[in-house]
Amino acid sequence: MNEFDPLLRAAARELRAAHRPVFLLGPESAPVASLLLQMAERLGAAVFTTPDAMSVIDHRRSCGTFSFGAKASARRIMERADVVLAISELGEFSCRLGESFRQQRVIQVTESVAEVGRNLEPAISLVGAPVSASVARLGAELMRVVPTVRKLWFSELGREAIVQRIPSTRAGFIHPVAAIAAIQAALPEAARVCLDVTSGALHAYEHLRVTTSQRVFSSIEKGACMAEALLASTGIRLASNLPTLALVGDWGFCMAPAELHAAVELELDRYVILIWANSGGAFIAAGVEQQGIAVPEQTWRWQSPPDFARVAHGYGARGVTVSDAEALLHELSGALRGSGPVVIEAKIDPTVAVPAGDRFLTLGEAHA
Amino acid sequence: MHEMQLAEVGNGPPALAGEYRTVARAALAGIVGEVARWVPSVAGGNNMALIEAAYAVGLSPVHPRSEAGAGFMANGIAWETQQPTLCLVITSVGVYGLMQALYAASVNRRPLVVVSGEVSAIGRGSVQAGDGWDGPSVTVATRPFTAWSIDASSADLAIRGLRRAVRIAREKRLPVHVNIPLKVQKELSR
Repeated sequence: MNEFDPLLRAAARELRAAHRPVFLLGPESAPVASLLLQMAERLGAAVFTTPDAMSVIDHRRSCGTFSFGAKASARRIMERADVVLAISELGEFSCRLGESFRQQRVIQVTESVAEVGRNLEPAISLVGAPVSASVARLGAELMRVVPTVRKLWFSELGREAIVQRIPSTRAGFIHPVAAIAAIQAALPEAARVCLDVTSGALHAYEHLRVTTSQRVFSSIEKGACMAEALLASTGIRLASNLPTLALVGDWGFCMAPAELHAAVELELDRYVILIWANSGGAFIAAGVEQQGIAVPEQTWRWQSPPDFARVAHGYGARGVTVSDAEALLHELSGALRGSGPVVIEAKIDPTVAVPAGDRFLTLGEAHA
Repeated sequence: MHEMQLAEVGNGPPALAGEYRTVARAALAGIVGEVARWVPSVAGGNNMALIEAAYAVGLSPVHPRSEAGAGFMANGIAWETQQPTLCLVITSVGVYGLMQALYAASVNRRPLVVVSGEVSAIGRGSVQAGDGWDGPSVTVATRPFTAWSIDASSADLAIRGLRRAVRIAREKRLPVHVNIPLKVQKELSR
């Protein structure tokens, strides 16, 4: 018996008493993801991941990401939840400065006490032990106090209005949802996806479906900067030896194009930089709009974009520009399986609203 | 001064590179099994001995175009492998160039092991000095982002310190920083 045990039992009691439990899994959940899924199944709990943990569980077991990039059904479920088991440091975007979980009792499992109370005070916090050890002990206690499988409480809420067709788009541009669909279709069974700070990533958080073999790198929860995922992607490609896609914004690519030359000299095959080209700064534009701030457009948008294909050629890489989803699928499928590196500039319709780039909105206002 | 430092790197006879064991080589030999194979490295006058040693002990240095590129590449390797990942840069401007990547590693719990090459000896002075004599101390600058940040001013500190740094990075899943003067890197190890 130690100080941890009463808290652990209290957490198990909270979960047992919950009518509408939710699990929120951060990247630290990865070593115990299968156990957490068993626990969720026992409780009939809905399972979400933070945006930086998309691939910790298979998309078929996930209700989506939360809160940054949350789709409508994810918000509906979370708004009705009564207890949230968060295996997460609960960074800025997962808990929206505490706004996300004002109505719920939160049980937080994390390693360090420094990660508790940053944005909200959980009802119970299990800290001090490695996350995997805490979850293992909580799981054992939970299985003891909840001996039978409970019914899923969120089935009706989880039904999305199914989009049968990709929305129509302007000629010469790709609809963002179609671009994400093309990425999903092109991804090999085992791959790495590196999501930079770009409006394309916001669409990916909402629409991209990945498996645990298609690991997603994203630092959006904790201090991500533009070009981070682009730069990290070369290391991920080297260390994984798997097909690797870096999804970067047009502005983000401009911050660090020179590393493409390193990738060329490393002869990185099956390595693709996909530039989400929608006139620069769409991610920032969403924030500007949400805050009602009036700044000159050149603050976040350029007058004419660089010729990215020519930039790629200049560094010795293959560069192509695509402006329809079929061409994107074709080029991406080939590049993720062929020699490289390859830079694909995808002309994305800049008139389509950026989803869930709602860091300046309350949860209620977001994604209306 | 900068030219002098570059000249110093070339002072050792290349033919002997594999025959004697420098402190740099001894330090990296002590951790080679505990770190990721890939080592993002940006060459400069003060870390050539470290890069030479990385090749010699069987690691695979790769050479991004900037320290920011190296730091974030190391983030990617550490994320993928979950292993402590070396990143070799020079002092001062080299370290400051990767600070953003070090911050990312810190808040995202990625075990980067930054090893910077300091100017030849404390107090000699240089526009690139990061030892605290002629400008800001790089290890003081990196301290908020690391679990451990030290100046390894002797052979013993460099060898033991790097081993300790790797173990701290692995245990705490946080970046660490060891700053080793060039003179120490090139000393012969017993």
